[in-house]
Amino acid sequence: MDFSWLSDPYLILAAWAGVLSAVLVVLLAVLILSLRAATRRTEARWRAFVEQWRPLLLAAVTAEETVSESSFPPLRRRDRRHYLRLWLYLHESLRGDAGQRLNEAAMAVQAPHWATRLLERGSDTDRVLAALALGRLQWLPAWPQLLQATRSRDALLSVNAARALVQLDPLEGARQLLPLLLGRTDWDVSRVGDFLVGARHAFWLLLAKILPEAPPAHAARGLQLAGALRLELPDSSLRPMLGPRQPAAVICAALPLVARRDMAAAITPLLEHPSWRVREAAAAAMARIVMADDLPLLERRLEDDRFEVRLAAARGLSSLPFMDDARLQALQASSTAGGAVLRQVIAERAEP
Amino acid sequence: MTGRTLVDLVTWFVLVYFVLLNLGYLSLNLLALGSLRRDIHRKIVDELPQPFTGLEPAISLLVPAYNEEATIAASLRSMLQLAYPEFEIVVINDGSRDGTLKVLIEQFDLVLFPEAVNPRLPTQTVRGVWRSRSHPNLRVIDKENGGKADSLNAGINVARHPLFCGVDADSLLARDSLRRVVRPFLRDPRMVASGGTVRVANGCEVQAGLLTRVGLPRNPWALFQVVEYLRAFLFGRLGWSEIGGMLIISGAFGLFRTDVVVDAGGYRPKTIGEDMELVVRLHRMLRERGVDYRIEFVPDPVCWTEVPEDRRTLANQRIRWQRGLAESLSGHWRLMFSRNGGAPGWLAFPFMVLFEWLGPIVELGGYVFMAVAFVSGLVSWQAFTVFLFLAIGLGILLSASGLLLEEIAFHVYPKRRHLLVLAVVVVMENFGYRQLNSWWRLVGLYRWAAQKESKWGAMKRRGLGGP
Repeated sequence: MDFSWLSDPYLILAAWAGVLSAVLVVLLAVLILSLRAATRRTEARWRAFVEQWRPLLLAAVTAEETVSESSFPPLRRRDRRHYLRLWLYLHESLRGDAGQRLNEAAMAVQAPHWATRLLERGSDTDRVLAALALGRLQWLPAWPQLLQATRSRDALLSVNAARALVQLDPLEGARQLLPLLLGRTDWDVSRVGDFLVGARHAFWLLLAKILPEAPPAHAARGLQLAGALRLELPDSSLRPMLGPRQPAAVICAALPLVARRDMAAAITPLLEHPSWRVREAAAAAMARIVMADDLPLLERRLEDDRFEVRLAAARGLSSLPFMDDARLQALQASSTAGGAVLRQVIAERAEP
Repeated sequence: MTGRTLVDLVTWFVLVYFVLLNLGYLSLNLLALGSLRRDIHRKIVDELPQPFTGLEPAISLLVPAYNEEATIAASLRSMLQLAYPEFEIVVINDGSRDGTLKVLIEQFDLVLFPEAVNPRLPTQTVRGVWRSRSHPNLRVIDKENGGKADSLNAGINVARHPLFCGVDADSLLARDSLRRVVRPFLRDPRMVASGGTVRVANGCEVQAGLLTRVGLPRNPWALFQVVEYLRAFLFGRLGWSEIGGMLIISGAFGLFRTDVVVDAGGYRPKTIGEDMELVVRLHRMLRERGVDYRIEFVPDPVCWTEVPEDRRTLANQRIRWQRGLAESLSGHWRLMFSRNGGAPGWLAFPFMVLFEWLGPIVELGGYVFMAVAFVSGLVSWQAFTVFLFLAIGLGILLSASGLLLEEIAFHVYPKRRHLLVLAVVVVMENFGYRQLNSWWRLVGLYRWAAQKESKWGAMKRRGLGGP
């Protein structure tokens, strides 16, 4: 077969693609090696830093007197990230007065000032660390920068900046952040629940106020957070959430918060709701507030089309203090659809 | 058309196919790189102690077991140690013919319990549900044999929690695996499924069901698979996840919203690739209904699995995987180029059809054709050399980029020796192993076309450490 490199441009192209891939392989190898070397250097520096600073910070935690600038060696600029990393780890691990002691140690190395600058101009990692530290330090002058950071598209940075603001001033933080707390679904709900513990009263106050007018998605998230914080919302806020026009997601989020007998009238119609999830949550809620007169409402759910609702009703009935085994067994004998779930809950009651 | 023109056409078709295939993978690689770089600062926060808040959704761990008497107790002991606020373990004994149930009864103090089973998915007959008296969050379903998909459906029927996680009985899970894999659900209410990264456990040190030291296997088959897993998970799935087109969540470790899976009809019994089939079906169903949803991949190494160390077992596994892929794709043609298909229908599905489903035919066909054409003098030695040079060069480039992603984000293999060994494997796998793999996949395609009956995949195991 006749062949000439010049006469076959596709072959030349393929050959160059091969050469390019070979060159890229070499470049990748160099990159991997340099990354490995850089990682080793960073790890070595981190280990050396921890070796030097961990005892100093722990000594500051246990010191009798207030620490000052002279208690620590100069902190090099390149070690600031390491400092925040170690300091935050200790802060998150220790309890009680230790936090205050660590804050004094951070003040002694001017941490609030350079952390604020890192929050404004640092790398992604630096900014997150700085936001976390400024919250722990309760450094109010950084409020504008933190507030700005809560609007970042980076969910990790923004949620941690929100946490810092709540730590700085629970009431004002919750007030300014409420739309974001309810609206930013990219914020890890578990993390939000965690830092709202420190602002639960402020959150309760604000949530109770805005719930009746909140859009359904915000209302559902607010109720979910209220449930995690074990907040008892006033009836005037909770009752509209149980209305027949509310989406099932909102009703399902509101039902676990029902704790008072006077909400029974709002729950009763929900036992017949078209959504089985609502019926299931309503059966569980009803069981918490039920009186002997209302038992037929729950017993009727034992014949529900959905297994989940029957099980919730059976569990609810079984949890009632005035419901004994004999009565449950009688129900089991007379029930058609609910026999199996009643047999299960009777056996569960018998377990040690 | 003359013979010469035909040869030219086929030559260029094969070359263009190889280039397109590798360009596709390189694009995925770049997407994965972007994702890993963006999330690199998350690691710093992950290091900090983080309390559970009660907002983490409870999880049902479903563990299908068939003839697992040797390993099931150790696996369960490690799963019972997972760090997560609320989870239950449901083992499904799929009519094992060995002493799996007996071991479970003895080791975990099981008693028969009159559990009401929610018959939301049809399954083989459930013979009984057992509860552990020593571990209140452990239950065992004993049922007639029906395959892995049927077992998972039986598990879903008794699962109590809003999320379930299918786990292979021989998987080793990191203690914080549930916390990591649930994260996408915490930061996006649209999430319906998330998949975790599976790594090769051969060569690692395992004590009491927990991985204590990461290492590389000495067995060459297992070594090749280390690089393969890096490629498949780190840029394959992560890249697709970036654009919402991930079609596979490994059956070894995947988290799903229970109600959505029930709504989709659960796992399809009698399929081999039940994990991929479910994900493709979820995409198709949710897109047809116009639901706004997300399926995401978690790149952190959360699950470690023992891979085959002999050619025969590996061949069987790959044949099964290819059959599973063919079943999953052929059952959902309507997703491809559908009106609401989005990234799964317009990018991922056609890519899978072109390069994963038909890949072995073109790859092996290409090698055979070029060799035959070269021997018969129809293709010049220059063209033959260029073909080999390009195919192998791109293959090495892809594997090397998987290694780069690993080095950037996880650094799981810390020793210099590890890096050196992996570099050698990255090159060597292109001289025989990949071609062998293509052959096994071709056999898988043939068996899929011949519609041979599917069974549980038996795997010869050496075991991963003492109890």
